[in-house]
Amino acid sequence: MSRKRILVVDDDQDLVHALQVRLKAAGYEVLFALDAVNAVRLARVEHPDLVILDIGLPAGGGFAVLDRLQKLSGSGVLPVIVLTAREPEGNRDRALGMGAQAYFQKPVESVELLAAVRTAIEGRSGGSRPSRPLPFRTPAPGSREPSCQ
Amino acid sequence: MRQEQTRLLVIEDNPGDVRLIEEMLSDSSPGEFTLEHAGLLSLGIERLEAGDIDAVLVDLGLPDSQGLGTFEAIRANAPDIPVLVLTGFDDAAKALEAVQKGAQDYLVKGESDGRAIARSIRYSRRRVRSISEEQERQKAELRVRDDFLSHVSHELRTPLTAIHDFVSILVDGLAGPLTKEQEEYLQITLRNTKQLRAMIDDLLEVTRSEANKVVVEPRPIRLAGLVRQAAESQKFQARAKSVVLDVDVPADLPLVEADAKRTLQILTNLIENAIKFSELSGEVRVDAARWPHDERFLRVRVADTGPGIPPDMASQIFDYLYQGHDPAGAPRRGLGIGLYLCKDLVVRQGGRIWVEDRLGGGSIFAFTLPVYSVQEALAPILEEDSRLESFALVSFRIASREASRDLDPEEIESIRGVLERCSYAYRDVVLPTLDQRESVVFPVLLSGDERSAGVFAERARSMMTRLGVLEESAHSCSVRVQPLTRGLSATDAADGPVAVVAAVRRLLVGAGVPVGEPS
Repeated sequence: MSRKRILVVDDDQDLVHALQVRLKAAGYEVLFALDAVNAVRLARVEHPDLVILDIGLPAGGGFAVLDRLQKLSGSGVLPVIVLTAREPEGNRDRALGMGAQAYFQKPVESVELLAAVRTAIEGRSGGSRPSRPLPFRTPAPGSREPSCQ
Repeated sequence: MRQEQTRLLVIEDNPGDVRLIEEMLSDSSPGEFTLEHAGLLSLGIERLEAGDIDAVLVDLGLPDSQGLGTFEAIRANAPDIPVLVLTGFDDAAKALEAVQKGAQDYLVKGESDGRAIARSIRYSRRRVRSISEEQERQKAELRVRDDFLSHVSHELRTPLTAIHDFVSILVDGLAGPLTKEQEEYLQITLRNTKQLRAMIDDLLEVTRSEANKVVVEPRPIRLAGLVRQAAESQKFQARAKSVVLDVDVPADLPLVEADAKRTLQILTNLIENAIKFSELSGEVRVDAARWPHDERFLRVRVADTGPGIPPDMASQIFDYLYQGHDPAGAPRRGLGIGLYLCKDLVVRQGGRIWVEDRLGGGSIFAFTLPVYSVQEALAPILEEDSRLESFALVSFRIASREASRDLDPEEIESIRGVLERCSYAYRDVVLPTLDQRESVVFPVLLSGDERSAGVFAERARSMMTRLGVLEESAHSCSVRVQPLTRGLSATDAADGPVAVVAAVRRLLVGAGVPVGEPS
């Protein structure tokens, strides 16, 4: 089985470097883009299995990229994990609402990130549309008793 | 100096008094006041909603509302407009009470001349304006601080992330084997990085909590759903540490009188802490039940298998900026804000919070919230009248027209909010909302007969539409009015506060709302 490919989008080279080391060690192939334009271009040309996306990006911003990626993926779903220094307040719900699988604020523990990566990629290769686990969703107050296993 | 123009709404049922005021004002201050007149509180409130009124002059005794409630209803509907109370000789005490509750001034009929009235209105307007300017200034200040801290937090996080990521890469051996000593030093670096991260997390919490100080709105809510939601949101963190997260909250717990958002914040914070302090493969258990110590409360407990809290620290850990000692190897945490916030929020909802030792190691954080009581909710309106026939139940059944979409919590909140505002003079009580399959029922206990209930229903529906809470195309809304006496046998139908409370409880329980008075 070929190795799964992850596109890392972040304008900070040090952080890209660290993610590369971490993801390669976990057995993934890593592509990277340092700005919004290259992120969309690479996603279109290289068909990665997952995108790890920063929000504060030059040349377009992460939300714009997220929007483009969702439209781009067309029939198949391209899972996106948002990893940003920004406050979750407002941003988390917005990202999840736009179709991101998970939202992490930097710095994140590698076990947490890798678990989300696995879930997202497995959900995808499982064939049908993933059930969207949304592990970090802030629950809205007062909503009616969701199930919890 | 040119006089400021004032559009004055006079809510007064005696046309003679209105004419008198109009003449006095135009004599003493020609051209300064434009008068509008409403003979009923309901009409006055409708006029206020239309906007463009600068000040209100109101008689507390109106055909559709008597006493202080008249003032309170106006204030609830137009909090930023100065209200002056108009009163007769015999009613000055009531008027004074209104002033204590926020009316700008009171004028005794027949005592005040045009000049006095005009002056009082002018001063009131100035006073209200300077108060709201002060509030605006404070809000702006908090916003600037929040923006600044947001920025700082963001800027600090990026370099911190690089340090954190590379140190953990080294610790995990991804860059080659380490000597024992190297690993130890890197672990120390990593621990301190985590502490720095926790401090950055807390930076914003402080301003947010100050800015949010005002909004704790207790309402009758179900606790079970909130506990599950909070647990659900932490499931991922628990799994990452192989911590078993166990929730034991019976669905038929009585409702509590609490703010859903704030309660969720407390629960999330405690569960998050419990997981954070747990060892790998530990256990976090959340349960809720009647508090055996005082049945008027529910008690929620979050128990962990972490290092525990030494008894001598048990009361201090909720203090502002409290920093625990650092027992060797124990994870340290932030600026000492989280638990302080929890305590603040619990206390402001009428509960208490504490920590106890768990047998066999670990700690238990417990807090209480008051059980919703039909009796207490109805007490104010039953003081004046407690005959069963004086009340009717108006139920709004609202559903989304979109197939299989439930109303979301924000929609439910705003609908409740509108109903509360519709309730004249606080004589009516918005009861706990009933969630039913694909629709939500909002019952209101109304002091009035079936006919006035019909009027209320119509008004509420039009207000919900006008405020955009209810869109005719997106929601269906049906209204049902029933007298409280319906379905009661002759023996049940004795009047009195107890009978009214019992009848309302029966209706709610019959509809599946878990209301339980303290036994």
